[in-house]
Amino acid sequence: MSSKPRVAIAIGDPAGIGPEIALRAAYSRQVNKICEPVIVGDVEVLARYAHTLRKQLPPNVIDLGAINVNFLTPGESDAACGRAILEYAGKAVDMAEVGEADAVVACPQTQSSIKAAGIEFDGYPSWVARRTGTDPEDVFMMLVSDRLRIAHTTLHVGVREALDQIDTHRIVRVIKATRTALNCIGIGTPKIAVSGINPHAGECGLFGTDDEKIVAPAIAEAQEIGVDAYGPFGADTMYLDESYDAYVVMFHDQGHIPAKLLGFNGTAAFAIGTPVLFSSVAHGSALDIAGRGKADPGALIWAIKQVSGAAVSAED
Amino acid sequence: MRPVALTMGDPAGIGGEITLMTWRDHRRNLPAFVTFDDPDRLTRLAETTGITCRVQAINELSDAESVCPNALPVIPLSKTVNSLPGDDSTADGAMVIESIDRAIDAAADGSAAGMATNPIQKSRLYEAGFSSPGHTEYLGKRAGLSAPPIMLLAGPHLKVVPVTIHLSLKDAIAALTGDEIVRTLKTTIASMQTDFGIDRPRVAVSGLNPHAGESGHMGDEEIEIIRPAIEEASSADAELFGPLAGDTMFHAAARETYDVAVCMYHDQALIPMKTLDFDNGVNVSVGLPFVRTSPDHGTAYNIAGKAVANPVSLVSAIRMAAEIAHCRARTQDMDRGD
Repeated sequence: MSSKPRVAIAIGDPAGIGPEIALRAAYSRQVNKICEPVIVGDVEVLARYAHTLRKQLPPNVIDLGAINVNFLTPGESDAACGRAILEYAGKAVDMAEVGEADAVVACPQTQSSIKAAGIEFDGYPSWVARRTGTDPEDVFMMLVSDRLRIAHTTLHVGVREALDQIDTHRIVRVIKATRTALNCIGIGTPKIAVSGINPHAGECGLFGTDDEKIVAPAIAEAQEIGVDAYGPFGADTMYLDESYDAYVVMFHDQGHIPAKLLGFNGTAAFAIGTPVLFSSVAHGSALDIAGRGKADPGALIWAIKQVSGAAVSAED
Repeated sequence: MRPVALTMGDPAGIGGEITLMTWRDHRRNLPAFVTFDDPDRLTRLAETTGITCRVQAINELSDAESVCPNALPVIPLSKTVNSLPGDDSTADGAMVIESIDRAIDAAADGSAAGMATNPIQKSRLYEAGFSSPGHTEYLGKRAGLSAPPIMLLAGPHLKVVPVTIHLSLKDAIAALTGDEIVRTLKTTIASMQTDFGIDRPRVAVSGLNPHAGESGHMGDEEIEIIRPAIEEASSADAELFGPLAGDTMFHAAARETYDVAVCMYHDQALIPMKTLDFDNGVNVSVGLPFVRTSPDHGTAYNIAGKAVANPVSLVSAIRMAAEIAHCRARTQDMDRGD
């Protein structure tokens, strides 16, 4: 039993569907078969949702007492919830850093609540970077679905700003982080495809020279340090070649559109480039259905499976 | 019945062989079609690729319908075409352009129902005097339009229109004006009505930025440009909604809520299209006085001449050209009160 990886599940927004899906995942036979789930949250919050599900609390729960359950209404997220979200995730990350957990999966957060708590936050990846003392510039988001792994050079910024952020150095870093993450999940020499910035990757300069001047040199540099990287490819046809282990894209929609169309069994969002194996769930906190026992834990279970396979492989 | 006029496309690409395959495998289920090409080149190509296809030169488009069941009708170009598949060293640019021009004339004067173009390699045509960024822009110029036609991509699962197409992303953002979005929306609505027979089309409009900007947190184009444009283009004849997040507007349940999606830039429109309908997506030029479709793929030099290319997108393009022509004729009849 001890060979199974310990996966710390941070419950996310206590007013969202996070606690329910965390419980459902922890009860799940398939989850317990592949890992030892540890829920990181508040016992009182979890007890309340467990009651809705007519279940007992699972054995492994880390209680942080981050929120007063008497002031918690499912579906109504506020600043207190915002603070709690990051306490749960923070504890889970700390556990992974000291070896008390092999991987972290964080349930959905509510960005507006974290902002309401006065905390600077633009998604889990950069936050995990700060928490682990990693340069946020070295951390990227990789969507993992059953058919595709897609790492994003830029994420939650306007397209105009994303264009300003993209340079050769940044692309080299995302390619390297992708390689490292794939090494962690047991792929020794991953084959990586890199998209272009412009339509058809610029089509020989007809639609801009960014791909020749910025992306191509990054791929060359990655190849020099032994990464099996190819491109730049037009983002619309790149995915048709399924021989790659991962795809690196420049913009949010270039990666999220195919991931959501092709990720039938759910999608995990890895924060890559940090010292811990961290994944969030690629859906929101669904405040509209929170507390009704209706939330589907499929995407969370998918993420747990991804990091569990990863943790096992890394130990092999 | 008037035939659909095909163009040769880049003779070093797969256009010739997919035309032969279309005739061999699909002619019985398609309206009559004719191609503007060099008949000797096509005969040689049929021999070298082993695609069984009789080629017959004809002089008049009106002969196409009677010839098509027995042979591929070809209207000869003024010169021979010498390019070999996969070999882009021979400059047949002038003939590529002549083929396009003559198909335009046929579609415009009504002797053809419409035209379906095989893929070209733009960079190979510039030395022959072609100065447009693509087919679509060239057709607009030939039709005397002040603004280029709009590109509609249509497949069994999705119809999508990019507001900006073949521009660098930086130039695309600059070109994304309220006027351009309004023009695209209005043209798209009109096309849904006249070309596809949808009386009150439902049009989903994307944002530019991730999550459609999330109330201005990730870019302000949605607030400043796209939302006002949607309001301006709104009319009783259509249901417009957006701006929507590009990554969530294409899943199956979302697609059921609209007839056509309008996207802000190339990849946003083309990624879902290729993902959902790679093999049989068709490109339709919307806003032209004549009907023009094309397969949704490139010249594919790397597989040219091997008879492994998939003709299904060209097949869909021919079928769609005929359907749009039929739909337009019916709309015109109704407008005349027949």
